[in-house]
Amino acid sequence: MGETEPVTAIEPAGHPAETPGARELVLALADDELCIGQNLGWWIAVGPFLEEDLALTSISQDELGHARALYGLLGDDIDAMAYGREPHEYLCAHITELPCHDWAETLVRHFLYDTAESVRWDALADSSWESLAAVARRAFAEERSHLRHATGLLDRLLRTDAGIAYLLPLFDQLAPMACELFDAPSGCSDEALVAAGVMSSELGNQRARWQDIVGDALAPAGYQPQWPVADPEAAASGGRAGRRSPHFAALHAEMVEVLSIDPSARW
Amino acid sequence: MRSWDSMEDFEAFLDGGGLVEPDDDMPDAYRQAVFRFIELHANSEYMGGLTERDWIAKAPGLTNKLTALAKTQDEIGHAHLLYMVAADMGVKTRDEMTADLLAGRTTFHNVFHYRAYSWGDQIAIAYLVDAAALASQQAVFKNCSYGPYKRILRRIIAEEGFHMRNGEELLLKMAKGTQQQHDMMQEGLDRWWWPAVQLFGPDSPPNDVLLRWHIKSERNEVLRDRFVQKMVPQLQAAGFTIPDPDLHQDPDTGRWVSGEIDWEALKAAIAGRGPDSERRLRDARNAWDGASWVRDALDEAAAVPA
Repeated sequence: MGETEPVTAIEPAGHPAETPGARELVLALADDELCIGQNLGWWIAVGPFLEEDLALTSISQDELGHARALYGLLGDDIDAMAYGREPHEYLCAHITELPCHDWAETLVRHFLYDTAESVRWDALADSSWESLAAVARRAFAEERSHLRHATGLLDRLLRTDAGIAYLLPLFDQLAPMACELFDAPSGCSDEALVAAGVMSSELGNQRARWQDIVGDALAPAGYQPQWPVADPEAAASGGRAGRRSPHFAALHAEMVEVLSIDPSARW
Repeated sequence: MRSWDSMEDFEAFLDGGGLVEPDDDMPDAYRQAVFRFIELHANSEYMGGLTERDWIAKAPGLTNKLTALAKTQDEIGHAHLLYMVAADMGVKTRDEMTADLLAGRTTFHNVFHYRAYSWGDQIAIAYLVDAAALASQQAVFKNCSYGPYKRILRRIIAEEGFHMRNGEELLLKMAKGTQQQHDMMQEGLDRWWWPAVQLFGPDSPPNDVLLRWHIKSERNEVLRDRFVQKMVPQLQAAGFTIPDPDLHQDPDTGRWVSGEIDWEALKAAIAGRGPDSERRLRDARNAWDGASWVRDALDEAAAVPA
């Protein structure tokens, strides 16, 4: 693996990909997928039952596949982008970095993340950046099965006392944190991206739509998440601005452990 | 439902290539023997997934990570299919099989009582263990008399073939790689060669019911020898050595002859006294016990209409 490759233009000038912030947005989404895929893969062989091991590992592979497709929009050396950058160069939202080695945490994060993804893929499905639109449409289709999995389990568990006791407190903690998924990366103007047709709606609108979906899903359990007010200052010092959570170091160390043994080796 | 008047009739049916189905009135000894064999296979696939998962998070690069995830998912998928086929035999439920495994009342293959210490070990598992498992499974598939097992073995064998080829590809990369990669791979082979050879088991007893009832189609020693004949030249051609100082080629036949095999290591592993048995079972128990509320709550929700 070589040095970190700069994110270089692979589209002609004037292309929607050249809209300021477009590449940063794609990089942020790719980094989200990379971390989520890595964390979901942890569940192989240790889920609550074998069918769940299989489901979470399938979803993990889908998310890593999305990461690969998104990095591929930015350059050719996908492993250099996925694993060869300094921690402050990653733009993932902090919720994706959480290990969630408790299954209830994984389910709640999975539900919040995949509902958020379905909203953002939808906003990119008709993107003027055509190759991004193609990735978004494919991912959106896969997202449906992820959501069926998450909501199927959530709906059933929230009909039980144990499910309510385990899951709802986690929404108190994770739902506000998940809002960061809709923060713009530093230097990314979502108004400009909407104006250039890269996205069909601004991130604030996407966030509001996602909060409605989450609220509707939890209403039957008599629960409404407490949503924080959007805070541009907090966003400017959060995950999308390159600030890593305390969980990132361990996550990243695992990802690159073998790669760092010998940077000249091909594996 | 078919039934047979005597064991002789039943064995004649098996010798004629007959396939037994779950609702047949099969002799109890056959039911128990086939069930135990499938349960051991299921337990081993499950524990194999647990053995391999240590290196998925660390797999170098996205392609290797995706491949490692898919491979281990296949193993867990095999366990899932096998447990369902075993449960259909009416001897134990899936939960009973899990409880027996976690309590150490049932066993799994020796190789999954060891620990993968490096990415080289991970490749050695794919290259040696998957190849050994594939050879055994192909021999079962060839003449298998229990219909449901034969049908899922077709799929399992197809997938294990991919794993073995993936192992070959990665082994060759390590062979052609840097000195550090070569050393890492050699160390992996040094750790996994003997457990893989032992996986075939000691020589089959003279009157093995698994052979007589067409579960196995070949004797353990025949499969083991075929594995050695195939692997030794491949590993040597790739520049690796076999950790068997007494390994030699018979001057008359040209066949490779292994040194003495330590069957005590196999027995100890299967009895749960292998180098990593305790951690393997502890991980499985913690996962199973820690999520009991999920299974209970889903059962509860299923019992109450939405």
